[in-house]
Amino acid sequence: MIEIVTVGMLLVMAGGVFSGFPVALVLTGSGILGFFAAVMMGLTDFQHLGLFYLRLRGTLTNEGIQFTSVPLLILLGMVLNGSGIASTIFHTLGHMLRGVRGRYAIATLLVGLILAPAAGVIGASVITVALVAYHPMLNAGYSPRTAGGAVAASGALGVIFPPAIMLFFIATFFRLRLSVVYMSMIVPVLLLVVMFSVYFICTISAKDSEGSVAEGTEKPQYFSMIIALAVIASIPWSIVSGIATLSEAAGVGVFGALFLVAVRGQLSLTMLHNAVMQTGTLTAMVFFIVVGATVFSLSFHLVGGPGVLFDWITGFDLNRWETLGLLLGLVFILGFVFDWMEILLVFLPIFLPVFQQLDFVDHVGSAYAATVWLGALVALTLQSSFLTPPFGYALFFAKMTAPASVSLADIYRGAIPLVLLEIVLLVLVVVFPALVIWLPQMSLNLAQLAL
Amino acid sequence: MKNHKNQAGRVETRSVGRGIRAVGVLERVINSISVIVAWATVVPIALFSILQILDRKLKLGVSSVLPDMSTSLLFVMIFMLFGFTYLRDGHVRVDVFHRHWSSRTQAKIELIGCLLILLPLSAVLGFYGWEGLMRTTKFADADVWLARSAGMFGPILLGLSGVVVIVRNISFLRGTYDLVTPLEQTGSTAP
Repeated sequence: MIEIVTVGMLLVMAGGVFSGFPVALVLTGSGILGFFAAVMMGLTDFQHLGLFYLRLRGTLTNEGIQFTSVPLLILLGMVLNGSGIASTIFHTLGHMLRGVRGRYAIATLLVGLILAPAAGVIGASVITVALVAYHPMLNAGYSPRTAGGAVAASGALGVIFPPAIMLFFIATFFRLRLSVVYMSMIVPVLLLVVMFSVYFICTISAKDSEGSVAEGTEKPQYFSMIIALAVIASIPWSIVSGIATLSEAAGVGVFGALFLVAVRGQLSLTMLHNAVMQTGTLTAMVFFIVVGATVFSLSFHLVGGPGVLFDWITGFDLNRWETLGLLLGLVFILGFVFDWMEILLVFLPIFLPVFQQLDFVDHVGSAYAATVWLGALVALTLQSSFLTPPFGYALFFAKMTAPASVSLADIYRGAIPLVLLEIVLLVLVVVFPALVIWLPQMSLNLAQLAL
Repeated sequence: MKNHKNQAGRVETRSVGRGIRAVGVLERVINSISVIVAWATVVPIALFSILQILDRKLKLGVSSVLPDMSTSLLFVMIFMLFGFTYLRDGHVRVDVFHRHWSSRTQAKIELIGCLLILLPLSAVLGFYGWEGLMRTTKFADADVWLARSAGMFGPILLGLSGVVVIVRNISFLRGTYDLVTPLEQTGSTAP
């Protein structure tokens, strides 16, 4: 009976989600249906529906989780987006890199990192990069496939670079210190940027290295770029150094970004209004998924769903490496269809018992370090998934504002080598956990932290 | 693929019936409330985060209050803007199949979803929100009152947004309204 209800809940959820109705509503609806099933099975009492509500309210108002940082990071992203800083940084980097083959592709990747705070939540940030980067790349003679691949990669990179919102949820899910998660992602992401850059340098044959600034393009603005970089970098820096919480750092970041916008003469009521309203709606969107995931997970646990899945997976009698491969494979495939929000808030909690029994202490060093490593692997897998044809979301965003000369097929072809490089990096991180662990170990004394 | 976008476009009606006019007014009310709520929550949360840091230096004595206030304001923002976000098609959808279906099929799905999920959900949330509000004593802090009130009024706004969508999609299916709501519209008063 438990198996039937478990499968039933998953099928109802899948059917609802693929109908195209908002995911959060489907999750809540199937969660409530699951609750009714649990009542009918005699597992709970109807009166306990009120406890769901209390749990929900408790989750959303839990000060220990610092959810207030989410709207602030989104607001920071919106203000930066509205400031046109992406364009300035792109052209300034392009200017700085003159002489380097593939400089516009490299600049595109780096701009993606600058927009990290709300990447993966504000789809517009990828569109901003696309609007800025396509024309210089195509004018410089890059093939549509290279330009499309660079824009898509740029959109996917920021999702896992500090202070991305997704990392906050990874830290919450794995119960890790945010500072550790931030530090753990720096080396892999920078390695990825280097690998992508080398790929672009080796494959781009266009003569874009003469340093000529095309008519109508922006002049380099080093001051604006430095302020923007300082604003973004101050967030992970203040958390790692322990001088502020994420909410406080993000708040300072918001005012730093507003200062930048004011200095650039772009501060207006319309821009502020737009940023505030988008922050409100995007925050509601994120937390509606938290609501749906909470209700669904509670019901799923009530009917014994995680236990059923655990038995199925352990029934295959896989060793820990195969189990890890299976979990990451699932995350990769789920990433084609779902946002990181649903994956982290709905699916990973379902598989939590399987994660918990994975023991890689001997491979990584300590239980805490092993969990950091697992979190980094999940983040990298999700990011690879977002870039993988045919469904990766970064590809669609890269297409949305692409010129007519860049087709979706071009973007697919451009992304495939980059995905292969991502898989190479993923394998490297699996084999050499130090790539993830070394930096937090050096700066935060990982050995003394306990789960 | 995930759909985060709000499509541009203007709501146009072939024949504006009484029901459509009424939900138009309702939508404007929801939009106005949401604009006020967004400003009244986003800006203070940002300011409080700064105050929190300043407090460590200036010893204003607000450190114990501000996190509570910010958390309650976040709850107010989330609950009060669910409906507005839905009307602006801001909630994530998995549209791998959905985008290939006809407008009529999309309208039917939205209608069924509203009737089977959104309205019952807003009723359940509203009921427990009401209960929570009734259990709030006069000794509770102002921020608790704010959050508990949002716990009741937010689901009502969500339900009303569902009513807007239901009326418009019924009209669409009957041929008296031109667009599938909320997929093909953007709130006319939206920023």
